[in-house]
Amino acid sequence: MNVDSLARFRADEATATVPTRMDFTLDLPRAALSVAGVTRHIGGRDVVDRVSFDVADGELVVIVGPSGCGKSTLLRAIAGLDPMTAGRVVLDGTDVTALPPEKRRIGLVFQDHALFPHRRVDQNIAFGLTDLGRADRTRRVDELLELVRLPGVAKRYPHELSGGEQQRIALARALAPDPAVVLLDEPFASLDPSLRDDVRTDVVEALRNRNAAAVLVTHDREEALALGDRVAVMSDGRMLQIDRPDEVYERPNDRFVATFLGDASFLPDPDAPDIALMVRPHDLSITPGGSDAVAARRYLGAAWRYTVRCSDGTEVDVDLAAGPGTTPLGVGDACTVVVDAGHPLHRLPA
Amino acid sequence: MNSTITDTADLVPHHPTGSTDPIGDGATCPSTVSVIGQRSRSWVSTVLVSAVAVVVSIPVLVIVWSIVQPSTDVWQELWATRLPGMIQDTATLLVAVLVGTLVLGTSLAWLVTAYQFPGRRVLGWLLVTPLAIPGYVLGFVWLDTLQEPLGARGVRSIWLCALVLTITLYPYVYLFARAAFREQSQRSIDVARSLGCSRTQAFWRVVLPMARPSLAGGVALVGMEVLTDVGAVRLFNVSTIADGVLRVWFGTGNRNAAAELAVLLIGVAIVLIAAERLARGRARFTQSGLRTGLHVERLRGPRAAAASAIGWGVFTLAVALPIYRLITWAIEARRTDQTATVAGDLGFHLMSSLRVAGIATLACLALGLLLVAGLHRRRIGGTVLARLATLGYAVPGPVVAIGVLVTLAAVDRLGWLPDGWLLVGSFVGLIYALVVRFLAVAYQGIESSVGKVSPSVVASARTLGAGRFRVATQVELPLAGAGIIAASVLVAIDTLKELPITLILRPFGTETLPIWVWQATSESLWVQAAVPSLAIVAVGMVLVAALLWALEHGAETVS
Amino acid sequence: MNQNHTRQLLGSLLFGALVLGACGSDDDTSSSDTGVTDITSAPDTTDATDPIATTATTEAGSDSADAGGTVTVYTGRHYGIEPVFEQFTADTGIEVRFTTGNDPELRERLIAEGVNTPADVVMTADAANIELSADAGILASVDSDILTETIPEELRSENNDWFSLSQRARVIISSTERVENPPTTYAGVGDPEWQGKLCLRPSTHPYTQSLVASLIIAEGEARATEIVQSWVANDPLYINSDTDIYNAVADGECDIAIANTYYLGRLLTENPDFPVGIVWPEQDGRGAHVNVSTAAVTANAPNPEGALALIEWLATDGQQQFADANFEYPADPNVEPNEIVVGFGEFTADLPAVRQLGANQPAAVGVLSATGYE
Repeated sequence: MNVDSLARFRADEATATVPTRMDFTLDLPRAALSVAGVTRHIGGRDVVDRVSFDVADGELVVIVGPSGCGKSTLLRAIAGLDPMTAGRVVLDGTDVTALPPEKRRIGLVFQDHALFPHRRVDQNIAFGLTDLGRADRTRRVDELLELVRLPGVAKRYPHELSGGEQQRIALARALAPDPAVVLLDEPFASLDPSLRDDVRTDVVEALRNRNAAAVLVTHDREEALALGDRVAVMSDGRMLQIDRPDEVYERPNDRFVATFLGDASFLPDPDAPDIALMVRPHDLSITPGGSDAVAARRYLGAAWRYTVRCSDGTEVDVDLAAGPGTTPLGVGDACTVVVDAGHPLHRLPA
Repeated sequence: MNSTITDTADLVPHHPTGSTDPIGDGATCPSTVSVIGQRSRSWVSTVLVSAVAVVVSIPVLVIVWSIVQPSTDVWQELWATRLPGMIQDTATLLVAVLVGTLVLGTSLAWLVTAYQFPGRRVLGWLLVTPLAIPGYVLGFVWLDTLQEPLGARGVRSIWLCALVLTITLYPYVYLFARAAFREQSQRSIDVARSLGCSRTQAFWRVVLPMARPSLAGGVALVGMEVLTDVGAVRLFNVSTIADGVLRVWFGTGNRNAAAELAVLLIGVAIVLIAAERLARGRARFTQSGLRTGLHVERLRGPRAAAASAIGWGVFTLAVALPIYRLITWAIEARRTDQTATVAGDLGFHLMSSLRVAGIATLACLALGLLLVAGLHRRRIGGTVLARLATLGYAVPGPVVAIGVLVTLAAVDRLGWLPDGWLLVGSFVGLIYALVVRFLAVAYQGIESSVGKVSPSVVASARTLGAGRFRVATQVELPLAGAGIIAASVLVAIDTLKELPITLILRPFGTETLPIWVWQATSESLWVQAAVPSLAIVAVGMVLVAALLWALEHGAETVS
Repeated sequence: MNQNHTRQLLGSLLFGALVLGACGSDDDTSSSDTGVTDITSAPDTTDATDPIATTATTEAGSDSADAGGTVTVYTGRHYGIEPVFEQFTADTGIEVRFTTGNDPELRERLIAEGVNTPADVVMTADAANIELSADAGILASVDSDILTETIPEELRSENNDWFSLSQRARVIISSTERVENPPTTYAGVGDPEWQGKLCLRPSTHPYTQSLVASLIIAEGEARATEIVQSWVANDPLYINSDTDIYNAVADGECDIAIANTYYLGRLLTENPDFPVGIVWPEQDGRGAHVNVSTAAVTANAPNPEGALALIEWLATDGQQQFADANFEYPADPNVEPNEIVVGFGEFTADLPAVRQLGANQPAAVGVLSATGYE
C-alpha cells in the first residue's frame, strides 16, 4: 500500500463529518406518509425496531436490506395488514394507526402480483373503484392501462399475460383508487432479469406521472440505488440510514451500510487511530512491483477486479479498467496498491 | 381431530399466485388481520362458533361420558374372550384396505395422469364412480355372486370384505392422488432422470414422495370409513371393534361397556389422524416456481391396450358387473311385482332420500362455512373447537344415533318446546344427527379450500378498500368455490348412503332408499333390494358427475 | 385470512331458515307431534301404570262404526306386517302408523322418549327383547279378558305386560338327500360326526342368544356351556342369514344346521321340492326351543285404547293372517296354521321357557363369548 497516496486523499478536518444516527423527529409537515417509531415485536425480538421516516408526494423511497431484516414486516405494518407493537402511521396528515387496511388509502403491490385470477384485467383494476359510476370506472381503467403502457389488455385474464405485464397491471390496480402512498414489496424479484429493467422503468415512470408517493422494498442494492429518490438501509429491524442514493453510497454512516451498498474496504487513518477511511474498488489502483501481491482476480467486463493482499496482511479489492490493449496482472504478481480516488475519502469510526 | 382429512382443496389444482412466501424476508407472519379494532368481532364470533361446535359434539360426549363409570367385569370378560379377536380383525381389515386403496388408487391415478391412451379421459371419470355404490350394496351383490364359486364358507372371509371395502373406497385415494400428480412439475422428474433414474424410479423416488401429503389425506379418510363401517363387516362375519360396540350394547344391554369400546374406537381414530399428519409432514404448499405440468407419455400398441384393459377391468369389476347384477334382479322384482314397499313406491322413497340428503348437506355446508369463518387461523382455541365439531366422524353411525337420541330426549323432557313438539323422531332431529356425523367432511373441505386462497390476493383486496364481507364474497368464495362444492358433494354422497342413523331416528313418513334396502337385506331378499339399490346408485352417479364437474371447473381458472 | 361477522350472521340465518323450513315441511307427516291428537273413544287414563280397561270397540264384527283414531306402532318384526295392519284398519277403522327397525334400537328409542313417546304399541320378533323392554319399565300392564283367554299363559308375561302373537321353533334341519340319521337333540348337534358339516347363525343374532338361553334354562349354565363348546368344536360355518343357512344345507355346504322353521315355509312356497327337512329336537323331553313374536302396550301410550284394540285384534281376528304372513304358528292353539306349516308335522314345544328367555339372555351372551362362538 502506498501510504502517501492515502494521505493525499484523506479529508481535511474541516470537511470531515462523522454523521449521527437517525432520531425520532418528523421533519416534513406535509409528507404523504409519515412513519414514527414503528416497532414490531415477535417471539422475543424486535423484528422492526423504532423505524421512522417520511415520504413526500411524488417521492420514491427504496428500503433495502438483507433477507430477514424486517423490511417486508415494516411494509405490512404500514399497510395495516399486521399489528404494530408501537408507533404511528400518518397518511396525508391523518393518523391511520387504528384503522384496518381497507380504511387506509394505501396501494399494495406484491412480488407475486396477486391479481384476482377469476377476474379480467379491467375488473381487477376496477376492484377498488366502488365509488365511481360505470362510465367513470371505465375511463379510469383506460387511463391506468395507458399509464402502464398496456392499452389493449382490458378484456384478458391475468393468466394470459406475461410476468412483466402482470406486475404492471398490479401496479395499475393499486393506483386506481388514488392512494396516498403505494407500497411495493419486492415487485421485480420474480421477473426475468432481462425484462426487469424495462418493467422497472415503466413502473417508476408511472408512479412519477401520478405524482404518487411510493415505498419500494428490495434486497437488490443496484435496484435501490438506481430507482430511489432516497434510499433507506435496514438491518436487524433498524433503519440505519435514509438519504439520497449518492449520499448513502458515498457517505454511509455505518460499515454495514457501506458494505451492503457496494464493495468497500476500510483503511486505518495513519494519523487518527480511531478513524477508518472507506475506499471502494474504483478508488484504488495498482502499480506493478512492490510488497503487495495479487491474491485473485475477476473479469467484470468493464474492469478487472483484483483482490490484493497488502504487506500488512489486509486484503482490498481494486478495479482496473479493462479494454483492448490493456495487460491484466496475474495471480501472485507483486504489486503496490495506490489510492487514486477523485474525491476525499469518507471517514468512519474505526 | 381431523384437521387434514377430506382435504378436498387438494383435489382442486390450486392457483399459482402466492404459492411462495410472499413476505420475502422470511419473518413469521401468521395472520393478515390487524388486531386493532377487532375486539368486538372476536367476542360475537367466538360465542357463535363455540355454540355450534359444542352443540354438535354433545351426542358423542354423552356416549363418552358413560365411561366415567367403568364396568370392569364386562371389560375383563371382553378382554378374555372377544376383544383380542376384535382388535386383530380391525387391524387386519384396516391395514388390508389402507394398503389396497393406496395401491389401487395411486396406480390408477398415475395411469390416467402420466399416460395417454385411447379412452383415457372417460376412464379418468369412470374410475371415480364406485363412490356412488354403498359398501353394503356391493357387499351383498358380491356375497351372492361369489357364493357359488367360493362356497358359503369361502365367501365369508375377512379378505373378501377387505376387497369390497377397497373397491368402494379407493376413489378417495384416487382423487387425491390424481390432483397431486396433476400439480407436479415435469421438471423434478427430468432432474431425477438426469441423475440416473429411469422413469419408474423417478416415480418412486420423486413423484410419490411429493404427493405424500395428499395421499395421506385420502388414506386417512378411507381409514375412518373402515373403522366406522357396520354394514359390510356384518355381511362377511368380520368382527371389528365397531361391530363389537353394537354387539356388546344390544347383546348385553350394557351401555357402559359399549361406550368404552366406542372410546377405544375413537382412540384408534386419533392414532390414525396423528399418523396422517406425520405422513403429511410440514409441507402445505406445492413447489414454487414454474409449473409445467407432467409430460404425458403416449402409449401405443400392446402397452396402450394393457393400460386400457387395467382401467376398464377395474371399472367393470367395481361398477359395471354389480350394476348388471342389480338390474337383472330388478327386472325379476318387476316381474314378481316387488317394486314397492307398503310405505310407497320408488318415487316416494326417492323423494325421502333427496329431502334428507339435500337438507343435511345444506346444513353441513352452512355450519361448515360458519365454523371456517369463525375459526380460520385462530390458534389454540380454534383447534379445540374444530376437533369438537368433527368428533362425530370417528364414531359409528348407531352410536351417534343413540347419543343424539339421549340428547334430544333430554331436551324434550325439559319442555322448552311448545306443546306437542318433540325433537325425538322429528325431521330436525334426524338432520341434527347427520350433521353431527358428517360435519367433519364439510368443515375440512371448506377449510382447506379457503386456506389455499393466496394470502397476498386477500391482502390486496383489503388494501383496495374491500371490507371483510366483500373480500369473502368476491374473492375468497369464488376462488375456493370449486373445493367447497366438492366438499358438499362428498357430504351429499355420504348422507344419501347413510343407513344406521336414519334407521333409528327417522320421522314417520320418511322412508329413504337405504331403509328399503335394509328391509330387504335383513331377510336376505336380494331381489327386493335391487330396485332401491339401483336408485341409490343412480343418484350417486349424478352426484359423482357434479363432483367431477367441480374439479374440472376449478382447474379452468388456474393460469 | 379474515373472519367475517356478516357471513356468520348469514350462515346462522340460513341454518335457522333451514330448520324452520324442515319443521314446516313436515306438518303432514306429523314429525313434530306426539302422534295422536285425534278422537279416542275411551276416557283418558293419565296414570299409565294402571291396568287399562277393555274397550268395546273391538268386538266381533268387521264393519264396526268409525272407531277412528290412530295407533302408532314400533315394530321389529317388519316382514309381511303391512297387509296385516291394512286388514286391521279395514276391520276397525283405526289407522295404523308404524315404523320399523331393529328390536334393541327401538327399545333404546322408547327408553329415551320416556313420557313423550308417540308409540302406543311395541312389537318384537323375539321374546328376550320384549322382556328387556319390560325390565326397562316402558311397558304397560294390561287387563284384558280376550287376551288372557286366547293366549296361553306361558306365552304371555306374568303381569300381562306383553303377549305373544305367534311362535316359531328353532329346530335342527338336515339335508333330505344326504343325511340319514340327523341328531335329535341340540346336544347331538355337537357330535363329532358333524365336524365340518355344520352351519350356525352367529352369536350376534337374538335367535342364537335365545336358543342358548333355553339351554341354560333347561340344563344349567355349566351343561349349556359344554353343549355350545361341542358345537364350536365342530368348526361350524357361521352364516348371518337363515335363508342362506337353508341354501347352504341344500347346496351341500353343510349337512345339518339349526334354523327357524318359518324360513322353510318361504322356501317351500317357491320350491316344493326343496331338499331340506326339519328334525324336531328334544321331543322326548322338554320339546323344541320356541321363540315368539310379541306385542305390548307402551307405558306412556297416547292412545292406550287403540293399542289394546290392535293387540286384541291380532290375537283373535288377525291371528291367522299374522301367523300365516310369516309361516309361523299362531299363539292361540285353537287357530290352524298355514298348510305348509302344518306339513312340518306335530311337535312338542318348550313353552315354559319362553317367559324366562329374557332373564337368561345376558348369561347366554356370556356363554357364547366364553366358548368362542363367533
